[in-house]
Amino acid sequence: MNELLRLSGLTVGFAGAALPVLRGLDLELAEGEAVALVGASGSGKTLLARAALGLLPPEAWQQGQVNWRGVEARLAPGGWGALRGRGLTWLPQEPLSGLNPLLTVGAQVSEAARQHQGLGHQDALRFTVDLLAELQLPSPMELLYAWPHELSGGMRQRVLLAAALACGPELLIADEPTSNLDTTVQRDLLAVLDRARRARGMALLFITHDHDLVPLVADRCVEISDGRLVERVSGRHAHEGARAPHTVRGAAPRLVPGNAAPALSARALVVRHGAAESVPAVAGVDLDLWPGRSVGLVGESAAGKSSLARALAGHLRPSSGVVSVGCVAAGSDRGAAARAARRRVQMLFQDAGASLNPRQRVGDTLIEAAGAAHPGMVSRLLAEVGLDEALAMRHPHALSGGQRQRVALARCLATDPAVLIADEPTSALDGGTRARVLELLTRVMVTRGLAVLLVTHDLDTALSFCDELLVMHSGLIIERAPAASFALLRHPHSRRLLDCRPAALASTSGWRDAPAAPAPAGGRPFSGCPLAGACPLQNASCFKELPPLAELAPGRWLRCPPASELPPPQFIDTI
Amino acid sequence: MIPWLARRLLWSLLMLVLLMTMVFAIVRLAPGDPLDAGAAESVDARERQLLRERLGLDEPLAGQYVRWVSACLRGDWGLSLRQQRPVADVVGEAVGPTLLLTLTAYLLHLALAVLAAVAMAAYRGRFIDHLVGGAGLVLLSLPGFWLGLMLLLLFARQLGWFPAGGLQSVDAALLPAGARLLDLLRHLALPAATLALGSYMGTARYVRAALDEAMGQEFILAARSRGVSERRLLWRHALPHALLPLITLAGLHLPQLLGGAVVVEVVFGWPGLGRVSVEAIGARDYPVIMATTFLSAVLVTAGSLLADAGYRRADPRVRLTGPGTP
Ligand code: SF4
Repeated sequence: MNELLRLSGLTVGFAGAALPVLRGLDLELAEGEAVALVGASGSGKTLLARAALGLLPPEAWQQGQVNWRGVEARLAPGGWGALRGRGLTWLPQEPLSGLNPLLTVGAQVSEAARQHQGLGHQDALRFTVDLLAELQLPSPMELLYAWPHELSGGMRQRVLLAAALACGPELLIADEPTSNLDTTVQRDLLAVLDRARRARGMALLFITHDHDLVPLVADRCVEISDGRLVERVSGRHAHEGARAPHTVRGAAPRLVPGNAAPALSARALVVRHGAAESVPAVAGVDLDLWPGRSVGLVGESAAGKSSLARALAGHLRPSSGVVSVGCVAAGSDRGAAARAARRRVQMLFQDAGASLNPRQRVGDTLIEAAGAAHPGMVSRLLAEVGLDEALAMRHPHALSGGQRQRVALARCLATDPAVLIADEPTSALDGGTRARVLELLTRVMVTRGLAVLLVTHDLDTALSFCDELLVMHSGLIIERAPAASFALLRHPHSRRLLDCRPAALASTSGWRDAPAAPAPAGGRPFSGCPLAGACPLQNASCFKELPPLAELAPGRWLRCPPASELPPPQFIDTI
Repeated sequence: MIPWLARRLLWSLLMLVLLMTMVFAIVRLAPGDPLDAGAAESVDARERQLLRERLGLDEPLAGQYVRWVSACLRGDWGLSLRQQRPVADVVGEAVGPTLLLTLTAYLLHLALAVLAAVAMAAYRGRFIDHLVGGAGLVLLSLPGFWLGLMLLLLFARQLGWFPAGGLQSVDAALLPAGARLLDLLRHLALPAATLALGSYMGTARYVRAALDEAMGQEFILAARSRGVSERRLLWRHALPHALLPLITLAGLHLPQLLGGAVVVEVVFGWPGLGRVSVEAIGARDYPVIMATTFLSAVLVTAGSLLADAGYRRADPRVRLTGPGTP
């Protein structure tokens, strides 16, 4: 095989920074080869991609060589610019900012086709339609004239992929293309990417922070650490043993104590973001959180998880229904009792950096949250979240991502809450840090008797941390089960979420050929099961009325009559 | 879109009413009255009193105001005190030339601004960037009448390429249609150029900043990685982002240009609203002053209304889902 791209002794740094980010890194990539590049955030993965493309930010400096087919790229005939497109191109991470909002899909994709395939205007449009169809985008003809903001995240990412493929590149550098997508959407994108790559014999450099994705896309895996590359075992086998199933929770799920009262309960909660007739984001949810127990709320991005979490925390006013904290209705009343009740519910956000005041020292933030300064309080709080007392004098920007999340947790604890609502608290963190933050959450929960709601799109995190799982779809709880094993989940949508996890895909041989997920029916009038029309088990009655959330067995509730009648093993292989 | 437009129209109307009131108040509260300026010396006290009564100047202000507004609404703007002709005629003749001058100047202003901005962005930090930027700043800081006089001296007197003033040549009525248009354009060239040259740099700097911002976006990086040329990135990918806000800015620029047009019209003897109002002010010709002020206000309001509506049509994001669309 011929060598395509070679980085030798690549060193990239920023002016003013003490250490370069990439330090003498070597990487070779042959024609048609798929390589996964794994690294934690901040490890310089993206910088490497931009160095390979010759598109480093102006404030970065570079040493070492980037060779394309044995020739140094910047000395190639026509320069680096002539290589980009036909030679190598880039699939950015963020599908929204990667597309020009003021150009139609057709304009952006066909531009590359015109330039690199030498096609005329009409031919380029026809080429674009074919390409969009190949990537399984619905109604490609109409898509030509669609604007990027009209598309869903998964569709935008495919349009970007189409634009990249329209160049006919020999190497595609995909920079975390799926990290902002739901797992179901991620699976479909990886499937079309893999098929398109094989059909073209194109080489792929797939950059990711997620080891689980490696066997799905690559033949070979390299890991970036300390600014250098470490070769890993062949991609298809790298997975085994890389991620031992490990439970933060420890023993079996804690049971609901017989005599206790819930710390927070919600009844018939409805949240709408628009007018009274709009489709609700939360469509009637009942929920109890118990002291010292954690509930995991899982679902896709538009399922209504965050709206529910915000309504429970009092950040959003519910359209109807009640939230009560320790028997005080907290949702709509304005009295002092309700305010005090709301203070007992604290929320921990995904982006701890944005939720902390950048100008305030850590210690001051904690004192402000507590409302009063007791001697030793700050150091006690910091110790509780496993941070050194000395950090109290720092500003948030001088902390690492994990430390910031711990400070955010300490700020929640400063008000001595009864309930903690954590909205994707670990999804911005890398593997090791994530596990440590989850362990800390568990410890705090047990020692303080906190009731915890963990909102996450990551089923593995939910299973390892929580005592109970709630699965949401279209603003409804569709399944509720003890978090003992995934085998307890039965709802067709829950099974689909499970099957689309990268770890599960790796062990499914034909995952690439499974049909793309049908587009979810959005904005239709709400009658019948929200999944009807895209569900393998549906029958006529599914379209007529919304099935109730019925109790199957103690602690197990299911909103799907057909699934309740079938024995569990049958679902293992359905989508 | 429609309810938005209705709300917007209502606001504009309110603004105009407010403005009418203010114009009335300012003109009437200023010391002196029309009789002091015009017929003053030749008229004795009794005749003066009669004139006052005829013009309604002896009524209480509130009464004058109501009479004025209702007459205006009927299209009766009164008689010009100086010219003894209906104000509607005096002002009506001036609207066309002013619109022609301002719109031509604005198109020229936009073209110059975009060209300068793209040139500066393409040669960012290099000689051409500084040259274009510097020249624009010099032009921006020159007083409008001086710039107009210099152009007049150079192109009309020394070189004789363009006529020195007026709307058209004396014999224009005798020319065939094509030649008449050319004659008009030749008369238009210098005043329009004066207005555009004196103002384009503000817009150019704005467009350039917006271009720089757009060029730093990730979609530009993505397009660049697909091998799109720098020139195309600038014109096709980044420029629309810089032009879009210009549509709204046009609403702000129109008043500026109208203001600038006053000076330019006087310098070039252009028979527009500006010149008419300057003359009217000199003669304390109240009916004309009020009419021109009001008309300018209408033009400005209509301009900003059009600009806002245009922005909502042009930006696909606002057009379909934008905030504020009920
Ligand atoms: S109720 Fe019907 S449509 Fe809904 S998930 Fe169950 S089988 Fe599918």
